[in-house]
Amino acid sequence: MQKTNLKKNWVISENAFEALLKWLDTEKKSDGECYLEIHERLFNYFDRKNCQNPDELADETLNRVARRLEEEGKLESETPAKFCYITAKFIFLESLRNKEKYNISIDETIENTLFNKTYDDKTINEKRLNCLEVCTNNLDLVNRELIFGYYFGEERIKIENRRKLATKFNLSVNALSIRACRIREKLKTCVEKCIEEK
Amino acid sequence: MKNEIYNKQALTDYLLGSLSETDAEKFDELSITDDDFVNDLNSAENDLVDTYISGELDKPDLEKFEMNYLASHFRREKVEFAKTLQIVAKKNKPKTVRDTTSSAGFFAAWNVFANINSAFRLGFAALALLFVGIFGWLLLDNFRKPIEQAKVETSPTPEATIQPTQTPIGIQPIPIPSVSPKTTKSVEPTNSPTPQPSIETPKSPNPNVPSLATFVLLPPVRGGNNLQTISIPKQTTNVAFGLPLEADDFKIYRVFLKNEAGKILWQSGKLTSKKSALKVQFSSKILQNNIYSLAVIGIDEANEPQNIGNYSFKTVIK
Repeated sequence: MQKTNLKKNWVISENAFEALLKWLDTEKKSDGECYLEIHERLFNYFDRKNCQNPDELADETLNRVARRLEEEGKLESETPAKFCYITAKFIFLESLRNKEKYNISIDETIENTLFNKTYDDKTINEKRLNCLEVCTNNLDLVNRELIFGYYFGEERIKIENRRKLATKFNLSVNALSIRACRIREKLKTCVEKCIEEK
Repeated sequence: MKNEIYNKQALTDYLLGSLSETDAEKFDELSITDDDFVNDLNSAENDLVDTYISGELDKPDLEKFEMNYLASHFRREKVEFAKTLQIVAKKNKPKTVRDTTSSAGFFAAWNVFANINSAFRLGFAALALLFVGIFGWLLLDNFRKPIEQAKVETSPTPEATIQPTQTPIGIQPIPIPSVSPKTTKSVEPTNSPTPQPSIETPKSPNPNVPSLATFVLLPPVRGGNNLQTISIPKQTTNVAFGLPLEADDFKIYRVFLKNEAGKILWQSGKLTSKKSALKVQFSSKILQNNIYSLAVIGIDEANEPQNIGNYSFKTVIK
């Protein structure tokens, strides 16, 4: 019982967080990049499962991993991501059992962002449009050309444009699509930040 | 290797929630552990959203998209962002790409025309124009046809009927790619003992275009019979409810759609009221000829839920 309470009240310390960052780091990525990436993947995982607060659940997953890491010193798993996935599965099942708790808790950070109260509102649409224009203007010329070229046109014309763009940038169509996707993701983040600041 | 595990169609099915449980679980794992899968999934998601916005999703996928994909605020936000991106992309046509409206581009799209003499091209263009003219005339003719007025059951005391709200209140509707002209339905009295909602329904000449029926439910009355009857035309794809609040004491609300047995069939995200009312919207597929209630809770400053009331209603699909 005492152990359960200890676990429930466990708060991630600076040391535990640093150990988690180090454990998540790979040869390719470091300095917290992996943490952010895995957090985003966990967020999307919980969101696809229609959890009401995917951000909280992603935090909870990584906190749980950090706690295990602190308790056991090292974690046996094929990859850190796999361990995070297994933990996330448990968190998801727990969230189903505690649906009320997870569904009604309010995260002020989310509340202040784009959702619900401002959704599809004329003002927010205008802000989004203005912000996107600012954000695209801040892109370098290559990315700007790529993203506008990628989304320009309809149906057959769009497909043809994409083929031409891929040839121009010496990429396969699939690689072009992934690159456009990354630029789009950057723009989305930039727009969200811009709207918050306005 | 990856193509043995998944392809673009499977990724789309996963995003629409139509994969088997076993496959979905595999994809769940890959969505966290496999870099290539994550890239392909993100790309497939963007394509799916873009296809939805351009109105190119076929009917079964459109239904799944509206039922599953749009269930999340975060994903709805992705749709809104994608719409804005398309607007900005249209305004910023790069020099390297061709315009859809260019007739030279139109012919250039098919290499077969490259070697054909100009007289034949002109002939083809004239024929194309003729077809466009005929199509346009047929389209106009179709629009001129009188729009069938659906019926709605209503109160014997017309003064108790709440009129349809013309401006959106509270949460905004789930985005619909194209909205057809709206008409207000006729309101006829029936023998119902309770005040009834009014209805506003868009009518579409094209059955594949999503249509929205809007109802305003009266606030629950303590000890009274709150059951209100609403008629939903069969072709309606989405229903929206305006829920006037007697006391607007909370910053945040949530709404739950429950069936008669109390099972939650749908739930909103966090809502704020506008003009002391909430608005919610969901797919009409959830509703059958049955009795439902929209349970409203307010979230107080301590994040504690407070029961506001149940807006009960009976649906008749016509």
